[in-house]
Amino acid sequence: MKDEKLKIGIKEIKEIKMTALEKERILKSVIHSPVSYEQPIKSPWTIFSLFSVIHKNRLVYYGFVFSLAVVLGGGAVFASGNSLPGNVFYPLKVSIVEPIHSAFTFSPKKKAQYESNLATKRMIEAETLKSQGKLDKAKEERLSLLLEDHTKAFNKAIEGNDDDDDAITNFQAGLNAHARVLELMNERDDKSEKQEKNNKVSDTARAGADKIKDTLKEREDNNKEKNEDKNEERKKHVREIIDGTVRELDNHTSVDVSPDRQTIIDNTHKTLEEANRYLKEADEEDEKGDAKEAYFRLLDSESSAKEAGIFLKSGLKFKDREKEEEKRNEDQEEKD
Amino acid sequence: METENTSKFEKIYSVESDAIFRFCLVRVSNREQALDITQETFLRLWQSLSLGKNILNERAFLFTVSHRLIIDWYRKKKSVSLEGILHKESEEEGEIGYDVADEKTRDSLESGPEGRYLLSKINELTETYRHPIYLHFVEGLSPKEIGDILEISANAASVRVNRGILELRKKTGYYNGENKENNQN
Repeated sequence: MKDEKLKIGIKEIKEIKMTALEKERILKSVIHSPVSYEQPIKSPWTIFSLFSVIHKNRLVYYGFVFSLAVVLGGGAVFASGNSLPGNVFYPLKVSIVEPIHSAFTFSPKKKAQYESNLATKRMIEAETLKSQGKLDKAKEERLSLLLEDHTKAFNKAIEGNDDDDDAITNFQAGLNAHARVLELMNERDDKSEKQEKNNKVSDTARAGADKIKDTLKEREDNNKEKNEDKNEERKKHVREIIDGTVRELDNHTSVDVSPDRQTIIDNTHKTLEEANRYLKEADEEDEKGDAKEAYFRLLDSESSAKEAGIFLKSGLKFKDREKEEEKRNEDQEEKD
Repeated sequence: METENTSKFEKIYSVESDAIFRFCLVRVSNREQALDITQETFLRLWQSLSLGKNILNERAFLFTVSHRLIIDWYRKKKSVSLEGILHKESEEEGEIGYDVADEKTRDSLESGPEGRYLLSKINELTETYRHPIYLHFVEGLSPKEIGDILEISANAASVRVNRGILELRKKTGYYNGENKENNQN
């Protein structure tokens, strides 16, 4: 009953209409009204108008702000890429960009590789600052702490992963090689009163390399698998690395080599001799039947061989850069 | 093109003109004013069609334009209207409400007593529910169309319709067909 009353009420409301005359009048009035086809006049204050449009439309406004943030943020990230300690973008690089990249690296193998690359990066930053004469105590401290973090992260990434010996020897070799470069630079530094061989960064690097070596040995001790087969394969691999570095050395050996470059070449030779010695010891251990010990020797040999190669490249690169810098300074003095 | 627009316009006009007029009349309570706003509304539609603008939903367009014209009218009226002082005004519009208070309108109107009663009860609803209830139950607009007209989401429009009908039911004692069982219980 009451439902009916509602329907009746709606029906009665719908009876409110225009008269036929009123309808006709409005229709004629509308259809015969002039239609303006003129284009609106463009405002001379186009920039202001653009801001007005952006401000009025919330969606456009938020989109504009977001795009601006992305562009500026992207620019900052790009600028931070090659920054060094002391640069305004450096904290952005080490505290935000690199950790985010690491967080999105899910495979333990890739994570270990990434941390290894970061450790190398820190060493190169130290070398660069050293060559520029800007490696002070505060920066050494900062780089050492970062290096420790990368070593810890690398150790964590290799946990439970038994087939990443290459990654470990690469990491070890990189740290040792760059520590040696830094030590060499330190020795040559006339400004250093004490002529100390080591600095905090190189010490931290060597400590990190030793720690990794201990982790590897601990893992191998717990590994019950026989190592004979993988030893042979490893020997072949190490010999290839040594041969490669020897060939590289031959390219740089000549009569007219500067004393500094000769120092680097001599040091590389010594490291290669070390690698060969470890290789020989590995053979001896194999003959004795101690495959595990032989494997450790092989890893030492591999690490030394890689260290030699990295040291040669990095050392010569810095020498070349120093030489260019000196030449540039001389040219500048001549002009003056 | 022009004949195409004209025939399209005439078709829409024949279907919607009474609904728009009614909507304006119950809001402004003055026949002449309602006719003016109706004319202006259709003039806007005519202009848009002539300029080749694509209108997805003509019905929603017409109700939206008329709704805004009514608001504009009330804003202008507010500064000079004595009725605006005497009657309780909504914060949003200052409008009087859903009624046919105009004497001329009342005399010439062919609306029966149930229609008048229902309108007066719709007028008693809180302002949030007044327009959604009228547009949904009288003019049969969907929540999405109501949302477009009132510039709220379709979901919000739906909620207001549902709550509005509960309130209207309390005031009138009416219920619609869907709620019959609940009411009996």
